[in-house]
Amino acid sequence: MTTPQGSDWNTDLQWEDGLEWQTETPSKQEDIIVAYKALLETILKANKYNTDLGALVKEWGSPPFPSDTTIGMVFRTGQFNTDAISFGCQEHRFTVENYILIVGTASDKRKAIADFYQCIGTDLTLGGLANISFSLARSAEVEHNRKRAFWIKIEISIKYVTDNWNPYD
Amino acid sequence: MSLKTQMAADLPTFFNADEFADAATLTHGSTATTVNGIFADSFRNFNAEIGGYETTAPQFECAYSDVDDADHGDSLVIGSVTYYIIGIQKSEDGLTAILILSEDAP
Repeated sequence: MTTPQGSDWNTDLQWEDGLEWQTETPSKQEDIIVAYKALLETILKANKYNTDLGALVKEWGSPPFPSDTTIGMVFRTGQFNTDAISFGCQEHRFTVENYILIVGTASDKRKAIADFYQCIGTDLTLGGLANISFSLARSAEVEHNRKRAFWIKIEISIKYVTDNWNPYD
Repeated sequence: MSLKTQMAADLPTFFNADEFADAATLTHGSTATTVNGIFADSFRNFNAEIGGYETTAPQFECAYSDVDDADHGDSLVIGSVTYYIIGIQKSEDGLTAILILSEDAP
């Protein structure tokens, strides 16, 4: 694939050769993150889970959870690697660090962890966009202040394939 | 009179509920007593690197002789809030103690 250059453009912001690149199109990774967040937001007691973890899912960069929070989570993308797997085709892998906040007991903590894994297992391809390949690591911290609070970190790996040098398709 | 004895005699001045201190009700077993001390509740952000969780760290400083039989899990009512003792930090000189408090029992 070549890069955009002057006369190659037409008014529709598409390539003369018909490729579907447009400036307003979200990248495939963005689509994956949107699908990932939507999947996590299904973790609700109404959907037969043990917790309502999905009611408060935020991305890194959001304000802190306020003091009356009892459960919630924040996630961020981590290390990103790209490899050529064949001519004109690249495989991308990135980690997602998930931080689950539980204000409660160790039992509440275990329920939330179980719900997280159960939810991820329901759609390991995120609607066909990618593959959630495996869980990399898990750790936990606890602080007992006004309330007892746990932060559980679960790191997973997601991979997806695009055309060479094309993050959109 | 030793300096330590003089300092101990001054403690009621510092822990005067009519000035800076609060009167709290400590319940140990079935026995409830009134303890005067200084309540603090400073801000804490747990795991601020990823946004964090806003909370506070309540504690109550008082004369150790008033709480020398207190245990973890005993309740301390300050105002209308019930706290549980999750830590007892006795000072080096043994005159005062800081009770680490939580609304969640240990």
